[in-house]
Amino acid sequence: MSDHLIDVRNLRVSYFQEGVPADVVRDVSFHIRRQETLGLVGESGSGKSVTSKSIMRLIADPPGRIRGGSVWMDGKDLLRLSEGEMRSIRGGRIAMIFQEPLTSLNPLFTCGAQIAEAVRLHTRCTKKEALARAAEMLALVGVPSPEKRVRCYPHELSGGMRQRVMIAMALCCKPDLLIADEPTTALDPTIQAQILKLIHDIQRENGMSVLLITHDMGIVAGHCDRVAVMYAGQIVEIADVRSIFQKPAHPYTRGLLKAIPRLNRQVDRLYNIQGTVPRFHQLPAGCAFAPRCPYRRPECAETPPELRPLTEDHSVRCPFDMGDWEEGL
Amino acid sequence: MLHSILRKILLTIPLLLLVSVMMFTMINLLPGNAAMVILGDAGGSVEQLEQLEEKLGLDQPLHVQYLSWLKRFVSGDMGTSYLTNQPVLKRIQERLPVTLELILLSTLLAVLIGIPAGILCAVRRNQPIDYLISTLSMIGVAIPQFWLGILFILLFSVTLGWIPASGFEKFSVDAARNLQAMLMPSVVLALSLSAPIARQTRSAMLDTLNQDYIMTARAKGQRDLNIFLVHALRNALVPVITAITSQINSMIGGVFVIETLFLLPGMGKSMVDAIFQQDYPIVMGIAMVVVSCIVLINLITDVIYIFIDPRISLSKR
Repeated sequence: MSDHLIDVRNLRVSYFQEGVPADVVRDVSFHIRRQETLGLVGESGSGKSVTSKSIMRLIADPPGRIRGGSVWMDGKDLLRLSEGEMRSIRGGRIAMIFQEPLTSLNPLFTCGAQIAEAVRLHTRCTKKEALARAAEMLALVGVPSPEKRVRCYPHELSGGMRQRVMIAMALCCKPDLLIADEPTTALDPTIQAQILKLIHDIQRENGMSVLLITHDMGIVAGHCDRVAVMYAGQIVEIADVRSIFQKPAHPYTRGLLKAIPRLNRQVDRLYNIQGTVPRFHQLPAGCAFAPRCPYRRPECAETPPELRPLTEDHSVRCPFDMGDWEEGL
Repeated sequence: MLHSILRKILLTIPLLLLVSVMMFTMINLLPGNAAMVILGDAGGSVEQLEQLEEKLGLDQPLHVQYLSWLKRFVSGDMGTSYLTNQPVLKRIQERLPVTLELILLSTLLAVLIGIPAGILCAVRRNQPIDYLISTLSMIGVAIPQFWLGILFILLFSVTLGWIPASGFEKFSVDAARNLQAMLMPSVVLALSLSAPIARQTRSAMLDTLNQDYIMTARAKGQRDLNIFLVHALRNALVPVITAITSQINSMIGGVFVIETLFLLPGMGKSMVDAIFQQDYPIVMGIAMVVVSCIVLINLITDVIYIFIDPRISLSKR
């Protein structure tokens, strides 16, 4: 328990559409250890972003609402804190960076002012000291001539630079957990690698944990210690990164891995998982993945499977043992 | 920036010319002329009329009349009123402050009512207070100003007897009396002006509150009030100011009606009288001043944008 920084238990989040709730996160439980990187993967709409925002209680209500579960950090349930206590956690102990660096910064304030704002919300200091800290942070995240850049407006910087500013803003109060919601999706590949390396380096220096949300299995392989695979609002498999790639136990995880294009293999068509993600208000009665599952059996459509442990660090939401994966790695 | 401002000012010259030609033509399209008005309905003899027309220069062809007006206008002489022989410039100097005060007061009131109301609606979206304010502002947009003005006079002056419906005094002579006379007309104008401001503020705020940087501000632990007033409001302000400007521009028409209704000796009342009397030096003079005011207001708005949004620059637009 002590090495768990965050414990998410039975999280349930619904979005209301004209008064009708749709459960977009269903019974999600996982933990994040200190100093580790947990990857959260899944298709668009699988509930990864909602899960991560729920940890910080950033779900807009309405239309969304956290309807059950708990998020434990240092013996406190974040979901039961007052709004004031939660504010000191946001940006202080848990920070977040977003997918779109282009729109995530306020266009009307200088980058320095926006970082300084975060500094002043969590530490007692003057405006001047906060701005100095902002410049220091910009230097840390590899922004050239930081003293000049603090006076720049976001539109004067490139996408990669802006994501660095976002990272500087997130890290200025040395958080214990950084939630990175697809931090590199909007950036081109060379910048992607730089940004991921930057997050990794700072993580090692500060000893913080990272929750890395992505749909890129390549990034998972390169940067995560453990991985949780989400499908239709549920975690279908959670394991250390080695097990996920070598012994994937859920048919969906297998599908994801098969879909990675490989340079050393000649194929006519890239593999894809048949069908589409079900809509949240018409989920199948049994296993949510059953309609698309190549290994499905008649009973799959009836009883929803439970998450069952395979080893100490590997759980899967599928009642069948698939045997060894024929493709291998 | 100075260069672009100067360029914008120079660009108003052709605009003023165009407006003056249109005004001049329209006045002369009306039946009758100033000489007939001066002689009155009883009318003098045909000789008297011709004499007067000759004296006023009304017997000249239209383009000659226009050009001689233009020549004097450019040299700074706006002419004299046909009916009172008062210099037009003097008349405008007397009347302009009254109109400007009315516009200023009602805009100020409208902004003070409209922007907070709009923010409240956006923050409490789809809650009773939002529905209430939205309904009120819909009514505010729909009610004609002159009708609201009449209702105000009926209620506060006639029935309750709180405020006299007229009785204007200059601010420098009697400030209390001046503000008392300005109160009802500016509230009437402000109410109908604040409605579109509130609506625009609401939609602009809703738009900005959905932006990613609002989530960023929340994620760094900022409190809601600061998010609304610092992060969202400043971003929402550009469309709101655009709305205010266009409202002021169209309000100038409303001002003329309200001045007539509350018997305020402003430019509007002057203009209406002059049109009825076909006193075209006055009509032309006031038209030129109004057009210049509108141009000036738009120019000021453009400069305000620059201070709000660093991405906007005058030269690019």
